[in-house]
Amino acid sequence: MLDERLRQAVYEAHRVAGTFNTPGIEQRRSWTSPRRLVPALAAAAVVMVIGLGWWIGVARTDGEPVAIDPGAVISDDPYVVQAPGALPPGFALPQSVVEVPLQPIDEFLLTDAGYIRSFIVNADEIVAIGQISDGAHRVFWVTGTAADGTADDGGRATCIIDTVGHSGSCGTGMDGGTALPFGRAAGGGLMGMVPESTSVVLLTTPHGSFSQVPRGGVAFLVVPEASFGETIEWQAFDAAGGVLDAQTSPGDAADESTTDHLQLDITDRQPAWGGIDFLVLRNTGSEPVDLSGWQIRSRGFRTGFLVPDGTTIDAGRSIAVYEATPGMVCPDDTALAFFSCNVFGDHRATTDLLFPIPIIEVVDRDGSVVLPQRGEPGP
Amino acid sequence: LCELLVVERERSVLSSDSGGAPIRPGHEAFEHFYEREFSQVAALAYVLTGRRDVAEDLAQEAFMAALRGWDRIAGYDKPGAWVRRVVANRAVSFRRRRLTELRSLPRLIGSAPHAPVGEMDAEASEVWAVVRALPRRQAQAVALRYLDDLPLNEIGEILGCSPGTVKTHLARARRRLGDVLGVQVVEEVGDDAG
Repeated sequence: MLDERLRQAVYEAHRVAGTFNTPGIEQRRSWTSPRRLVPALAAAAVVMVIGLGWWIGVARTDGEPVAIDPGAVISDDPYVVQAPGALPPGFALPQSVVEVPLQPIDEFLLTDAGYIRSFIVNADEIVAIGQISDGAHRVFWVTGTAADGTADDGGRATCIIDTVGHSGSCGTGMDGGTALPFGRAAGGGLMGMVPESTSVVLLTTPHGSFSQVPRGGVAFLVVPEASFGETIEWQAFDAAGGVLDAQTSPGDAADESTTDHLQLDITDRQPAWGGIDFLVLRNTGSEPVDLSGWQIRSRGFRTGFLVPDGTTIDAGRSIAVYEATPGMVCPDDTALAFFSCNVFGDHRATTDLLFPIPIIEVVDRDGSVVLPQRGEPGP
Repeated sequence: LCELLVVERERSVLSSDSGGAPIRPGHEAFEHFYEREFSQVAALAYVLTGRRDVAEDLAQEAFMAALRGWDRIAGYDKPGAWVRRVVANRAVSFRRRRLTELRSLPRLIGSAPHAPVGEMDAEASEVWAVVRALPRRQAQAVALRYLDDLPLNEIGEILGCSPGTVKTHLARARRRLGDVLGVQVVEEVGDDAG
């Protein structure tokens, strides 16, 4: 009888689950206490600075310390070059870049990396996407204060995402916990794994730097003052100091004729779903906008939320796209509400998958990125 | 349809106040909630993932997420439903990622991945393996129904479906389980969901 088999299976499941480790909540909560978190972060910062000094002094220069001044070449090492004048006044690289060991991942070195395609900072999550010449995009590292319950106690995770195959893998959080792919992890910085023979690149922003380092190395970026949705400017330089690329994040071309009265917002940021609870697209103009066939997706990803045909936003109204999570309250001013499950079915039922990274763009049916517009603060 | 239905229901069932921050005065302390629910939620994660280590992590992550939003989540009438939904969805996400990784790992590291080690007896493991092979909603419905002994309406709140849809999922799942396990299936009678 099926019910008898199920009863036995349930009994066994409960028996085994009863032996699971139940961590002490008080201990974990202590990390969320400002009284303990602030000193812990301060201690971590000291360790990072010391670690950087060690790296600069030992790993990069065979034991010879190198004095670093903004605007000067970091070292003779051909892998790390700072373009003159690239750093903002008063910005000290040793306080912002730390390298830690990471095992080489040769299998991902299909080809040379071309350049850093996009780079965005927000308070909870930092994402960098490497443009690989074969067309694949790979997230180098995703980290930040945990927004969805993963590795929130100081752990960090290494995540690599091949958007062509939609595959992802993550290392284990440094605290021993498992960090999920697609990124949410703690640590407060950005790490980038660097393919071999990559041209030497240093990205600079008003908040910090991202340097590409040899294969197996990891660059750590600390962004102390960035706020969610903030626009940052960056430049990439090759080993000779030439500009490889320069953009304003989020920075894609916009069609002013159709987008100058559209506005994309991320409304609410529920921690359980990776920082994006739902997206709201507003028509702030005086004419309706036909969104049929448009996509709302994570930058660098080829699929996302496909707006159904016949969808129009009337002037002054909005649409929302979100995962219907328990307890969620819909925005009052949305004329239409879409649910990811309805469009994609079960296999795309969560925002974690629908929007793997919280860099959102709107693409019209011709494939042109229409939001965010160049120079606009992105989500 | 499930997701359309659940929003309105969530407003009235899971949240005490649909118009603002759903915080109830005098709500349950997180520690009590955690101690009462952890084992059950961990069991749910366990049967849906088939991996003890992953189940522990998923359950802990879900509770940590609940902890961070406890001021809000504690205001729900059924915070346990919120945690179960997180675990149920993430367990399915884990399975999808796991399948992807299993396919890619040999190429990446040049060796086959280790097979997970089960800890339940063979018969129970077989049952849950068949459950995990069911379509996602059916597997989740079976786990919530039999493992947590939840009524249809509560399962529907967690999965975002109507009780009738849950009942359909369960009926199909039972038929499939019976076929695969080679055991007789007796149709469930009655509906505790009302």
